[in-house]
Parts: sequence; structure tokens; C-alpha cells
Amino acid sequence: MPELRVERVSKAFGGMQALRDVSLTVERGERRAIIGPNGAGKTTLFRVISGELRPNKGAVYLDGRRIDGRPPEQVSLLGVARTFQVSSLFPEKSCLEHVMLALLALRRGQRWWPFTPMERAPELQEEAYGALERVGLAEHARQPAGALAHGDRRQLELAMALAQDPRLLLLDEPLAGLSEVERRRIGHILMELPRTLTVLLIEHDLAFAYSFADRMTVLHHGEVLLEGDPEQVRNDPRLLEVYAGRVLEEEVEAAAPSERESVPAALQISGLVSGYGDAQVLHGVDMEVCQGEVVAVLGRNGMGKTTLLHTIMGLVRPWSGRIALEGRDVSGLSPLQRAQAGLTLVPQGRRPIPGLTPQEELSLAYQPGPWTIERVYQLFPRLYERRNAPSVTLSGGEQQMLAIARALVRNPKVLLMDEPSEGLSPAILQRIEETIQTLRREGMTILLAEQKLDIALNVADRVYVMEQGKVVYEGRPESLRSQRQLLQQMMAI
Amino acid sequence: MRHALLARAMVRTAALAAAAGLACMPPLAGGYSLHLGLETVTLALAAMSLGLLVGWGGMVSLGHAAFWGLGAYAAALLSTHIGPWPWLVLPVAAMVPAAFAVATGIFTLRSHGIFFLMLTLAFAQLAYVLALQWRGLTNGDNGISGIPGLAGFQDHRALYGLAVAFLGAGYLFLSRLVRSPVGQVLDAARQNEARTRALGYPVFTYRLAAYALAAAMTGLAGAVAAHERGFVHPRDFYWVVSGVMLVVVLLGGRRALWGPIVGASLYVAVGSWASARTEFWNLVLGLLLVGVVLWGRGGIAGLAGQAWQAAGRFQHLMVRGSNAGAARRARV
Amino acid sequence: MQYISALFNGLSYGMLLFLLGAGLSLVFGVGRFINLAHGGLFVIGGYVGFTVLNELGNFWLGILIAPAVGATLGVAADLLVLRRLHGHGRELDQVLVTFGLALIIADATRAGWGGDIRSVAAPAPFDRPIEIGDFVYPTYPLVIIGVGLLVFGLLWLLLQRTRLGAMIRAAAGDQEMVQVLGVPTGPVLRLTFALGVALAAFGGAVGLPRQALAPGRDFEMLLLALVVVVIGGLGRIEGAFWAALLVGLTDSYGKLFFPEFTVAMIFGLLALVLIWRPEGLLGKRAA
Repeated sequence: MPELRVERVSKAFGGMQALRDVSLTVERGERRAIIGPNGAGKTTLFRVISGELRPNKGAVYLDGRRIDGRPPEQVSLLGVARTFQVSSLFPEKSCLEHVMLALLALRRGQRWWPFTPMERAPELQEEAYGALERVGLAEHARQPAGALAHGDRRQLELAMALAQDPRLLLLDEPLAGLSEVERRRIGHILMELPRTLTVLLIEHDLAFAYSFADRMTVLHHGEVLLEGDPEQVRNDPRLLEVYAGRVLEEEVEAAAPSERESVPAALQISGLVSGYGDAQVLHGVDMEVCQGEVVAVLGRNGMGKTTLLHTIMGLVRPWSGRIALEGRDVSGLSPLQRAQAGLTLVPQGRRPIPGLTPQEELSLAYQPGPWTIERVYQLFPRLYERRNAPSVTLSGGEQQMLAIARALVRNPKVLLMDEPSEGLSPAILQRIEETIQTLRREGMTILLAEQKLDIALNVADRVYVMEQGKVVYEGRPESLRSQRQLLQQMMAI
Repeated sequence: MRHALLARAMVRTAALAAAAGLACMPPLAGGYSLHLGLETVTLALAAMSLGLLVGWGGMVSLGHAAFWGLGAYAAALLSTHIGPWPWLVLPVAAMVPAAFAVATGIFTLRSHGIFFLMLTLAFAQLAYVLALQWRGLTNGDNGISGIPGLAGFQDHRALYGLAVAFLGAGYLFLSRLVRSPVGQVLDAARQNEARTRALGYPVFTYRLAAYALAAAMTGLAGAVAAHERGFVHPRDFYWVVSGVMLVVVLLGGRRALWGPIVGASLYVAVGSWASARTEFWNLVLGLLLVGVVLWGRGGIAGLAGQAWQAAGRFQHLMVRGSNAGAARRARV
Repeated sequence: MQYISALFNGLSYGMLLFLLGAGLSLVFGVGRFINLAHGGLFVIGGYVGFTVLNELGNFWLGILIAPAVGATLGVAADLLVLRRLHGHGRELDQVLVTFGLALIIADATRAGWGGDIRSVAAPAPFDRPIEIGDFVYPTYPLVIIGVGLLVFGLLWLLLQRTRLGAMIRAAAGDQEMVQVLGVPTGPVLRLTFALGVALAAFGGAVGLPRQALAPGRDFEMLLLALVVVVIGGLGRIEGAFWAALLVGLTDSYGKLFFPEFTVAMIFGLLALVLIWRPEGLLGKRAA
């Protein structure tokens, strides 16, 4: 009997179909990697398996027993442990307490003890200590999780999951955002996991996924695109297309190199450091976007692209560094003041405003300038047809058009775009790419964060590559195109 | 390190001695101060149970008056109609509110934050209205008066002793509880509910248990208060009672179990001072609440903790050093 | 006959509850906090109306002045206290502060207007009952129904058809995104708050001839308003409207059939709705 069987599972959020008829069979002791671009539905699949979400259709069986529809605490006790994509911890509790809680959850009697302080359970403590040691966290045992570095948090997640001795382990991007040293360490721990353990792994670092997995499943637009052993998957042309577009195979018409040396900088970023809580994400970013230039920031998931755009927009407070918009330092301003100063953001996930229609969103955002509401409707006729429908009911592509349109009618000095390609079908993708080209011809200044290489290289005048919250490469798209090795390292294909 | 430990032990002993001394004052002085003493101790007991919910469970309830009132009314009815025997009255006065907590918790504990606060308020106010309108049982707006003294505790000095014993036992129990698995799970769920559930804990059941426990403690406090005063009134269910308990918790500090004791003492002291001078005592209470929320986030415990920390910073370093040592030893 | 009277009683009471609940719901939608001083504002509106009528002899002037006083107090409270508590994770503190304000208002009104029951007669020309055959019914509750419908209509127009309304909805939908689009949410929130408390004070003044004022009325009204917004779904004006009518009718027919347990029935209704739809009748379902 297979350890895990997912049968024709579908899950929709509002108008967004996140999973469509996904079926999956994982044998006992198998290591399965689930890969696919952002928005493909990987994490949704995990949340369905772990009981956090109820599927709209379909069923999930663990060791032959149906588990969909059960609450997460029951699924967990049946032997499913998971780590979270964004470390999900108890900020005030120490690492040791985390693991002790993980262990205690399985002790049906002891976890209801109301009298004995937890620190007076020496074997529990010892066992927890051992689990921390296994992932190399023993020296931080007494530290509160809120004070841990990002890498250590990931390790703690792993320690908690392993401590529960699960039959099925769900790992959601365990390597995301780790430094090279940390990657190697965690990678090693994962490789050394007992072969009796069934593991499902979501990972963007494909190199690791190939070496780790027995079999791989590629998800795309919420559907299983292909499945096979790593060798098969790696050599399947569809995979490359899903991840990188066609950039590595064909020479796409290069963007005309532009003469911009004499043009003043619209956006100048120097020494930018920021992060969330105690976790530092940006480690001193320098960047410049000239007037009328389209600059792409490339990098894998978790490298700090979104944080960069959010810090520029003011949604995340900079710890230090300077953000200058046309020479004026805006780093002390609120998001609203920055918006009024001429910055705007097309956010990741599009974020249509609940309760409003596209027409209303546009007229609220509108500020006089070359981009009028009529013009964006000409640009996106589909949006015009849907202008009086509630924004949240639009399809993914329509929502993306709306997000771009409402940013355009701000007539911003600099337009920040965060992964406009995420989760869109090829036809819509092309539409979005053409739109960015149009904007570029119109002289709009754009800073674009993107994972899809082909789009980024097609539309950009200049490219930055980010790794670990730092800029590791800057240059023209043509020269990046020729550096296959860097590209591959970047995408970890 | 030895100095720091010694200093801490001394502070702790001094605090205990001071508390014991203060606790002995009311029965010695008798009369009005005994009344104030009983008021303080019962309020502290109720507020401490709310402190558990707020500080560890993350459940900010504005419905504690229901537990208080149910305890008081259960005690009043039993003592007047059946007999003022503590072995009967006190357990029932604890169990009735606990049952109410379980019945309403099934609805209220499905919500969080503001919604939880509102729903607890709504259910408590329902209890208030029932106490007011179910005249056959509760005698309506006239309340129930002439409650006989609790057998063996007719003397208020003895009743005071009982209340202090409850408070002491409650404190010891809760301070063990918050460090036990149950308390730790509650605290974990406050910080990250999804994670706690993903680990396999039925968070709802833990919260329901804590909610019922707090209700039982508050019911006991209400029962003692009812016997002290000799009468109960629907006002015991009124939401101002819940508000007072919440103010006491915030005043004392939401993350210290002794906070509510200090908070209740301060509240009763200020209250008796103010009510002797003004009939608009709610005004003072309101200002106090606004002030504490605006300027005193950690309450008195927060202030004390800062001083404590400053004194113990040196020691903290030493402890960390010795932990690292222990870690090394454990690995060998 | 008494059934028809109960119908109108229920509807007019429901309209008062709507005036109260609409403001509470609006403020929650934008500010994500519950204003527990809302019932206090209702009572203040009533006392202002009462004083204006006594001093100036004009009931209708009181209805105009009451919301102005309410809005002024609301803005003052916002500037002095609530504003310091804006921001993520402090919603609970805001609720606690409004609880403090509610206590202050309770005593302040008692200090200002005493603890006696204050009531006024319905103003002319609505002081005479309507007689249709055997059926006799006072006129003023019908006026309240009319006013309630009018306010509902105007609020709906404001929210759905004006730029300000779109801003209020936008701020309720996604504050961060709306700021990124250059819409200032701070003033929108302040304006919504002023509008909400003005509605409460207006309700207090309008309801004066129907409902006497006395200490404790503030918390009683707040509680019913809370029930209304929870049943209707927080942040939803239409929800508040229908829920208010439902609660009003439950109250009036409850008084007819089970006079002792009217309030228990209202809370029973609340419990039923929460079991059936925890997010309220028209509330958004959580994803």
C-alpha cells in the first residue's frame, strides 16, 4: 500500500484555481520532490495534505486511511509532520522548548499534565536536546526563536518535524533564503534522513531536488505537468520551458541597447539594509534606475527581491541606507507619502482590493498625467469589459492587468513591479510582456523583480541579479544571456 | 553570581514577607479594613484566573462577570434554600460557572481577538439579563439578601482566611500550570496557533479547559464575596465587573501571576479612597484603564521586571555561560 | 391588532438599532476595532436632544445638534487617544481604551444629567396617534421607520456611489495597497469614525420620544448594537440593516409572547447565527 495517495484533488480560492485534479502516489520510503514555478500550487497541495485546507474535490489517503477533511492536529498525530515555507515558530519560546513541544505532542498522557513543569521532564529535555544537536542547533538551545537568524529558524523547523518521528515528512522549501554554508549543512541533514521515511519536498533549488529525490512531480498552473525520475524530468524540454521560458535555446530578439549614460537617475538606492523583525534580508543593496529605463532584478525565491521592492515602497522599514527618488531622499517617508512622491507598486499576488470594482480602483488611484483611465482600458480591453465586476472575482490574468492598470494611472515617476508573471498562463504572460514593452517605449521608468528569465531579459535595459540579499551581478541582458553558467547557477537548474 | 542569586533570593523573601504581613493586617484591624481585605482577595483570585487567559492563553475576555455572578448566585441560592455548608456550596459555586464556560466556550472560543472579547461580553450580558428577568429564581432586581454565613466561616476573619487560602492555592496551582505542558501549549497557541495545531495539539480543547478552570476559580471568588456581603444582586453579572477584572490584570501586568494581586490591592485602595470622595467612581476607573493602556503596557509587573532585569543582567550572563557548559557536558 | 402594533414596534426599534449598528460596523470595517463607547455616544445624543428641547423648545434642532456634538467628541477622542494606538496588533488596546471611554461617559452623563429617567413627548405634528378603524397606533415610531430607511438609503448611496464611499470601502479592503495607490487612509478612518459616532448620537436624539434615557441605557444599547453587527457580519452595512430589523422584531414579538425572556431570545438568535454562520449573515467567509 502506498504511504500517500492524493486522488484528483482540486482547490480554488475565489476565482483562482490553485489545484486542478492533482493525483499523486508516493510509496513508503520514497523521496518525492514537487517542483514548479511560483504559484503552481505546491504549497496549497501541502496545506491540503496536512489538513490546513479542505479540498473542494478529491481525496487524500495516508497509508490507506482517508485524511482529507480532518483538522491538522489529527493529521499530525497520524504521522504527518511539516515544515513551513516561511518559518512558523513561537517567537518567545526557546529552541529547546520548541522541540520539547514537538515531542510532547505525541505523548497522549503527558501533554495533559497540569502540574509538572516542563523543565522537570529530564528525558523529554534530553531527547529534545538530541534533536537539536542532530540539526546543529544545540548551542542555541536556550535562545528564543524570535532572536534566531533566518538559517537557524529553518533548522529549528526541521528539528521539530524530525523530533516527531513522522511517517510522512512535508518539507516546504527547506533551503530557501539560506547562505551557501547553511544550504550545505541542511542539505546534508536532509540527505542523511533515514530511508524508511517518506518525504515530500518542495524546492526551488533544482540541483538539490535532483540529487535528493527518487521521483519528481512537476506542477504547473495547479496541474501535474509531468512525473518521473530525476533524470527523465531533468531532460524533459517542458521543464525548462516552465522555469525559464525559451531563453536558453533560442536567441530572442534583444532589446535595443539604449544610450542612457547622460540620463539622470530616477531611483537611486545605496547601502540599503532591511528585514522583518530581527531577520535581516537585505545586506546592503546598491542599485540605480535611470529615467525611462527598465531594470530587472533577477533571483530565486527568497533572495530578497520582494523585500527590496517593499523597502523601496516603504512597506518595510529600512534599517539603514538611502532611497532617493529623483535626488530626493524618501527613505523616511510613509508608503502613502512615497506614493504621493511618485512611486507605486504592482504587488506580488496582485492584491485586488476587496469590496471595489476595477473601475473604482482606477478612479481612486488616478492622478492626472499621460495615462488616463481610457488609455489603460484601451491597453486592456478585457479589463474594460469587466470594469464593474468585483475585483476579487476577476481571473488571475485580469487581476494582473488591473494591478498594472491602477499603477499606471498613478502616472508614477518610477513603477515597481513584483513578479507580474507569477501564476499566469502562457497566453496571458505574453500579453503582460508586451505591455511592459509598450510601457518601455513610452518611456516609463520600471524596476521589475522577476523569476522568469525570458521575460526579464526580453524587456530589460539592464539587469541585476540578487543572491542572499545582495547584488551579485549587474549588466546588460545580452551579456547575461551569454553567461550560461551564471544563469544556471542562478536558477539552479 | 552568588551575589546576584543571593540578592534575588533576598528580594523574593522580602516580597513574600511583605505580602504575608499585608495579608495579616485586615483580620487584625477588623471592621472596614477586613471588608476591603476580603474584597481585594476575592478580586485578586478572579483577576488571576483572567490573567491566565489573557497572558498565557491570549484570550482577552470581557465576560468574567458571568462566572463571578454565577458563583455568587449559586452560593446564595444554595445557602439560603438548602444550607450554608461549605462542602456543598463551594464545589457547586465552582462547577456552575465552569459548566457555563464550557457551554459558551464552544461558540466563543472559535473566534479570536476582538471577536472573542465581544462574544464573551455578549454571553455575560445575557446572564445579567437572565438574573434580572428570571424573577422566580433570582428575585430580579431586588437580588437575594440575608444569605447566611458559610458554616464554620461565619466570622469574617475565618472567611478571610479561607479566601487567602484559596488565593494562595490558586497562585501556587497556576504558577505550576503555566510551566506545565498544558500551560506551555496554551502559551504556544497564543504565539502561533497554526503551528501548535500542526504539531498535533487540539488547541481548542486546551483553551476550553483553561476557560473552564478560570470560570471555576472566579466562581469560587464570587461565592466567597457573596457570603461576605450577605446579599447578591444582578449587578454582580454586570459588565463593569468584567471591566474591573480586566483593568486589574492590565494594571498588574499581563504576564505575571502575582500582578493581579498587586493590581487588585491597588484598585481596591484607590477605589475606597475615591468612592469616599466622589460618587463617580467609574470615571476614575475609566481614566485608569485609558492610562494603563496608553502608558503602562507591562503594568506594575512590567516595571518591576525592568528593575529586576537590570539587577540580574550580570547574573544572566553567568547563567548562559553555565548553560553552555552544561551543553558541553551533555554532549560528552 | 397587537400583532400589527408589534410589527411596527419592532421595525422602529430595529431602525434605532440600525442607526447604532451602522456606525459600529463602519468603524470596524475601516479601523478593525470595536468602539465600546458607541452606546455612550447614543446616550449623549439623547441627552443633547433632551437639553436642546428643554432650553430652546425645539425638538428638531436637537436632532441636528446631537450628531454634530457626537462627531466633535468622536474626533476629539480620536485625536487625543485612539490615534496613539493606530497600527497593527494594537486593535485590542483600542477596544480596551474605548471601554475606558465608555466608563467615563457613563459617569460623565450621570454627573451632567443626573440619574433620573428622562423622557420627552413626541413632537408635533407626530404627537397624535393614527386611527384606522379600530387600529390605533402612535405616529412617532413610523417617523423613526422613515428616518431609518432614509439613512440606510443615504448611507448606501454614500458608500456605493461617491468617491468618499469608494475610499471607505477601499480602506476597509486593503489599507496597505490603498496607500500604495496614494489614497490617504488616516483621514478616511477619522472621517468614518466621526460619521459612525454622529450616527449613534443622531439615533439617540431621534429615539428620544420612543425610548427614555436612564443610567445603564448606554451599555444596554451598545450590547444590542454588538449583537446586530455580529449577526449582520462585521463591516457590512446591509448586514447591519437586516440584522437590526431581525433583532427589533424578535424583541417586539418576544415581548408579546415571552415577556420574561425577550433578551434571552435575542441572544439565542445570536448563538444560532454564530453556529450556522460564524462570520454573520452577510459576513465574508474566511478563505
